[in-house]
Amino acid sequence: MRKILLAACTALAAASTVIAQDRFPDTTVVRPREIDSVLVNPHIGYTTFQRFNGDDLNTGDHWTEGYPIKYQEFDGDTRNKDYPQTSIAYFRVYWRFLEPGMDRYDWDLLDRALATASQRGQTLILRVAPYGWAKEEDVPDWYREMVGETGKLPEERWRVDPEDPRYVEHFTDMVRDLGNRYDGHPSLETVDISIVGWWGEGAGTDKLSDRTREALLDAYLEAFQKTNLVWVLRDIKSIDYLKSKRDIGWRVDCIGDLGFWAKEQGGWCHMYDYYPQALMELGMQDAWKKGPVTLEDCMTMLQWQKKGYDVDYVIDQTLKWHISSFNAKSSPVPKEWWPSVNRWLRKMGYRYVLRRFSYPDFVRPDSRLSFRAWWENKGVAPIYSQYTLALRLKSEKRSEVFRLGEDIRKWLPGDIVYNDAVFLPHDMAEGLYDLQLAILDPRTQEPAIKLAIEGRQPDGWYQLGKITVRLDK
Amino acid sequence: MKYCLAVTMIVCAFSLELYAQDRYPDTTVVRPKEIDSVLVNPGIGFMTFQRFNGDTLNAGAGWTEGFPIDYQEFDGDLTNPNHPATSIAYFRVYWKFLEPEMDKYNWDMLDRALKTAAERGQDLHLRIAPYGTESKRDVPDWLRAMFGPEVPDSLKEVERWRVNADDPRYIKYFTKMVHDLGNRYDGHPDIDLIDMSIVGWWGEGGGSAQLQESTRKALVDAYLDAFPHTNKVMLLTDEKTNKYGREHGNVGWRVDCLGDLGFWAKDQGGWTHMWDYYPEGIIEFGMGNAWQTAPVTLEICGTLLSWRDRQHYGLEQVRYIFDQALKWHISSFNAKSSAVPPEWWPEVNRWLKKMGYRYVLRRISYPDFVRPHSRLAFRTWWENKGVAPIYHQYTLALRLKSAKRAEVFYLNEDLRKWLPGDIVYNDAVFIPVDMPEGVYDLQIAVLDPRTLKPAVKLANEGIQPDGWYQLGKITVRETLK
Repeated sequence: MRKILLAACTALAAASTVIAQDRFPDTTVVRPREIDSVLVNPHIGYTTFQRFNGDDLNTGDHWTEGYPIKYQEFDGDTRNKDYPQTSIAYFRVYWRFLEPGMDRYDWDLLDRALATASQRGQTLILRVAPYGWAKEEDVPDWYREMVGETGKLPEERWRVDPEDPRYVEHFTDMVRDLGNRYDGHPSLETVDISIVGWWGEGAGTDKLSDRTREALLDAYLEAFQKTNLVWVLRDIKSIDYLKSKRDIGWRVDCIGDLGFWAKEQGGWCHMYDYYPQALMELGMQDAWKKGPVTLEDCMTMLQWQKKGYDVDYVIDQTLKWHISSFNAKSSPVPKEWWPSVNRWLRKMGYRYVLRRFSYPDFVRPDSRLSFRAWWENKGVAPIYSQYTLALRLKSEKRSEVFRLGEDIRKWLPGDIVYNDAVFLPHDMAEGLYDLQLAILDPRTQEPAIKLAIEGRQPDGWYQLGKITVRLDK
Repeated sequence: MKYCLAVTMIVCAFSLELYAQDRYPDTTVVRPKEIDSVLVNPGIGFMTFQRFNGDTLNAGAGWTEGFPIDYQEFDGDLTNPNHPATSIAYFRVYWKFLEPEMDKYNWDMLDRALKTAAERGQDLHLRIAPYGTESKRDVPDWLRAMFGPEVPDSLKEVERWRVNADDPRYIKYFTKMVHDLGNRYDGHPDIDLIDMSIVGWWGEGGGSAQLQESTRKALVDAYLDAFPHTNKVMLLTDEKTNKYGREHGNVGWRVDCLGDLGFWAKDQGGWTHMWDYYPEGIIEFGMGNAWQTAPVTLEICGTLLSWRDRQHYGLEQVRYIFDQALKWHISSFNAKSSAVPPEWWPEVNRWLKKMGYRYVLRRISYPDFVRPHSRLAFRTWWENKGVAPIYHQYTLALRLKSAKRAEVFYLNEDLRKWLPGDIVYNDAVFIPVDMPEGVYDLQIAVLDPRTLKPAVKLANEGIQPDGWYQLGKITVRETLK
């Protein structure tokens, strides 16, 4: 305590601009204790794939995707064995399953996924892919019937010709209907833009005419004005077009490839020969400041391990690229790699540490409670959704919440100094109050984000200290 | 009801752009009934002067100002006989009372005014005037001692200055007071606005045009810097000062002689504020569009009783004055806590129904039923029948309420953008995943963003005891297998 006071005095001597309420002796200075644990927080961390928290993982080296989710029996235990606890579920499904008849949608398919995610404490990343690789992963039957068999196309990974006006018409109709139903859904984390190519991965985007490319992308931009969008790192034209319209994030789907196919490809691999260059050349290196970076593993982590890849190298690359979330395809984390994965989880996305908080020892009703706060975002990215930072004065007599105007989406990694003030109600009862802080869900007004500090109360608020409300001076 | 449905169908036939949920037969269309009563709403209407709701008015045609408030005994009755009910109290006080000794402030004086206002359902307009006329309304004694005795009028730079405003000491000490004021009160929820007073008798800005450029900037900047959160208005004084304020901050304007159709015309060659100053000044000083983002608040010339008894105005003059003020987008009016002549009440009420904002919800449509976890999309058509927007942030919200559950949905709409005229606001909320099935009341309200309680009345029927407005019924029904 003495040290704190001394520090306050020294600061005062050095800086005469320190505001009055921050001066000894009438100021309480709190330095919350940092914690080191992995925090499960919204929008960041690992994601489950085609399944949810509590479900069994994919076994061995394999995984499934693109098909409707096979719902597992749920025993009420949301813990994941051999996999981190997650706040996100990724669902990738082929168009044919969502729109089995023209204009006839199986919305239950998505409603159930969203509801299940919500019940398991997750939000959903969604991609509706036009088709996959195999014959049974084709475009919807009614669309195939309409366009007939496709001959040779300029891109091997296309199953139908995207330049056929009917493709733009019907695929974008689906996207718009999707947006009309789900844009802004609180359980919808991100929409993964998919327009062409096997699995919706965007192969051949560079071969599209401007008109087709823009029509396909416009559908997403118009349909999803509230929900975050991400786009795969592909060609400069689609990136430039999207960037001219919106802050969007990016994704890639072969993280960890240090040479899976190097033998056949003259040593080429994603992690050395594609991602670093694409990120720079496509001008996306700063996109993380406004839109999420969500990455998917190449094959599975078990296969990385078999190949003898250096997991820490891969992790550090993604952190440098400001990763927020990672889809490890619901395949187990190799046992030996848990320390590395936990280190990763503590850096992915945002991680807020309140370092110092100062406020007056006492305040009068109807008067200004000024505070100064020094925070650190120890993650590698900001948060991309709106939350409400709030203070609370709480005693047995009264509990009063003050919502602050701060936009925490601006809290980039590093230091944040946020000084502000609230005014107590004129009829605030005298007495000793707990001063507490929380980051609230703007809809429910309940605490929603965990901080990397001690002091969390059962209701999710963080205890900072005591403050006295009294009328006299 | 039949009529409503028919209209909906016709609209459908013409416009394929309408959202699906707005189509008959699965849509509920509500046209809330408009009401015509005077609404007492925050930030608009008449205000009390150096007193509060429930206090006795100034007697006769006189008034007091600039001195600490003489607190009247309060019997718990908030009604104002012979004066409209108000949501604003104006407090104007001389610097000498706030800072009787250098750096020693009588904050209790302002704290008490704020607290009293809050207790009477009012927000405060505040002006700290540097001085008035006569010795008892001088600058603070300590500043007078520093400057020495007041120089004769004939030797002054400006007659209405009691100390030279360009003197660095005036700038230093006056702006310091403004900064200290801001440090304590900026953003206070019970302050509706700060009336930026910089020089001249009563802080009315006399001689603003003659200020040195650096002085003008320093004095105006003090308010802009000290009150980044609180709304601000400046007196309509001169092109340089008003344009500087407008260019560097979002400031509104005020004038203090509304209704002067010739109070001193005889001595001034026929010159009047309403013909020869205000219309020209508003435009020439760059304030013509200020009302779109910052308030216009006007003060009466004399009192309403003096309009009638000394100036012999009739209804025609009153109407003319009120209509001019409406055209200038008035939000609030200081009648100096002087009585309204009984025969002018209909005009005053007409005026009150137009001042500031007045929201009428004309039409809302929403789906007859929604599924838990699904989108409740709605379309609304509103009319702001006032002459101005609202200038403070409020939270528009919907509520679904049944005996089982009440769920509030805060909307992101910024009401400050709702200018007079039509507003079409379509949006959607998502029902929680665990919302129980059943029939709910769908309700709407404009909430105070701090307390999240209803704070603004609508010009519609349907208000409930807790301030929410009933719109209709909506069914939550689970159809997911």
